[in-house]
Amino acid sequence: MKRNRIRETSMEVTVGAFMFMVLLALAFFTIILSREQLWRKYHALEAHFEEVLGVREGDNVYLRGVVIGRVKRIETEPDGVLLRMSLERAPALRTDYRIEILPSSVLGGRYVSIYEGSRDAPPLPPGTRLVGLPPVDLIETATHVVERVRAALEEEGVLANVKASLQNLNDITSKIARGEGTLGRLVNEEGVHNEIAAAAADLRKAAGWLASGESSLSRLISDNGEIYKDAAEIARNLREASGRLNEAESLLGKLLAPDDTVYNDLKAAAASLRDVTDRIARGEGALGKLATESELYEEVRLLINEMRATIDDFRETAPISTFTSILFGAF
Amino acid sequence: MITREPDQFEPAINPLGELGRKVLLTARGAGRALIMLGHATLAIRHVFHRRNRRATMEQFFITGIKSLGVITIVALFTGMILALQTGLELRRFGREVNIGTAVTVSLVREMGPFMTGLIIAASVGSAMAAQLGTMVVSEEIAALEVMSIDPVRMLVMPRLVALTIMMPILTVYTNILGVVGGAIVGETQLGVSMRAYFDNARLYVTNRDLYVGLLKAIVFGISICTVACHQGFSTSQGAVGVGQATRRTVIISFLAVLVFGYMISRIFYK
Repeated sequence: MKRNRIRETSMEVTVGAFMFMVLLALAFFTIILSREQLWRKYHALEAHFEEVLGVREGDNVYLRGVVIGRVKRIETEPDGVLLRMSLERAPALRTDYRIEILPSSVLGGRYVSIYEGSRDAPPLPPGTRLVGLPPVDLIETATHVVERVRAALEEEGVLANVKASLQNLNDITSKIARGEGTLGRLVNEEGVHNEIAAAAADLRKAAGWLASGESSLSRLISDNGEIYKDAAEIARNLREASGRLNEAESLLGKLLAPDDTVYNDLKAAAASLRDVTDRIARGEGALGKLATESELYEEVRLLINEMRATIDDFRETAPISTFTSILFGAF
Repeated sequence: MITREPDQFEPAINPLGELGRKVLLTARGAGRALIMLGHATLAIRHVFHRRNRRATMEQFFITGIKSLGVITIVALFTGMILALQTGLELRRFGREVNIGTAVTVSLVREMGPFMTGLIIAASVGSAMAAQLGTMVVSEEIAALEVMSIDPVRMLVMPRLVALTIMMPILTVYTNILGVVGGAIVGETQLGVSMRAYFDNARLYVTNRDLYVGLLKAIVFGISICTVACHQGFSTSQGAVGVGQATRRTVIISFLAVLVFGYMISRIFYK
């Protein structure tokens, strides 16, 4: 009797402990799955949408890519849908805020994304009615794209062009198959093929000569880079010369410079010189008269001769007059 | 007692008549089972009677504690298989982290109650049918009636209470072990960390899923108990009849689990 009682007690304790543990686990998972933290304060946020495109209660709410809450309730209104969200922290919304419903993946599922707005925008006044953007429907977008592609293919003639191109290609290949045209003859006639084979053999032979280094051309090719070095040297010199020209160090550089000062000076000097020579040619001025009038020339020549004689006389009499002046100067 | 009344339908003379007889027998069996269930439900008010309390506790022990071994293995491996098969397919899309969601949703909504129902039907249900059938063929039930002891109150009600309460408890246990089994496979074979697995697991599973699963478990428990006790009480023809009753209990319980599982899913997930 006592043994039975002990057995009964043991059975009751085992069953009770098992049930208690499982019920505890059930309570734990209930709290976990509710995604609510019992002692945490949540902020409510309401946003109005024209439509929500399949958002469900419990869907996540993201702020800057981080989950900050979930959709608590969805209520239909006469002019749209009201989404009540429960957030772990209140977003600091600004006037250029965005609240949108985005697809979680191509396979389905949606989430609410909140963009608080740019930093330089003024904060949203309290009590503002938040309005969400219309959701993006991937299927609808894909359908639209397919329609556009189909319209482009069928209505805008792309498909016709492709068909025409394929027809042309078909014609070309048919002609080639029939041996018409150069390509057709090339494909179908053995003689042409033989000629091309012979040409290829000649080319191979020429390439062999080039590679052997026996001919002038091959030496030019296989000179161990001498020609290349020379060409590089020439290019460097040219670059240097052009650089000097660009830097306006030389006369040519100055002439090529964007500034036209030197050119203008030269032009003015040439013009003045031409004017002077013109006046000389016309016999104007002293030089002109000297150049054009022979009498004046003769007079000038005689004057010069007389001046030269006078200077010679003065040079011969200079010691005597000097001595005489010193002698008489002492008295 | 109504469940032991002799067969009143005469053998049929042609196949159509035989078909009609079987339909009638099935309908009568279902009716008897429901009447017995109603009777047992009404008798629940006597559950705290000393004798009934002891019998109920014994059924709790048989149904819950003695089934834990097989349920542990089945639940763990069910979760592991689900995780492996789903994870290998999801790996093709680079989304093996989603096995958390796949395994948890499958287990909590359907597989947990379903697997628990099958195990309990096969182990506890068949044992119930065999025990009651043996009592019938050895006329122990008749002796109880002679002593004015209600067999339904004494034998069916404790089993009904135990299965109705234990089934959801065992289902929660199955769910937990299945999810843990999936996490082990995710960590060891698919490269999904425990943290990522459990974060993903609770993304799409809701309390509604959990409690609809538990509702299924309760319905399965009631169905298995009703079928097993009715088949046990309907046993005839000695030991052979006991074997047939056990076989029918397992088959009908499996079908009931499948059909009721679908119907509850259909009601809650439109």
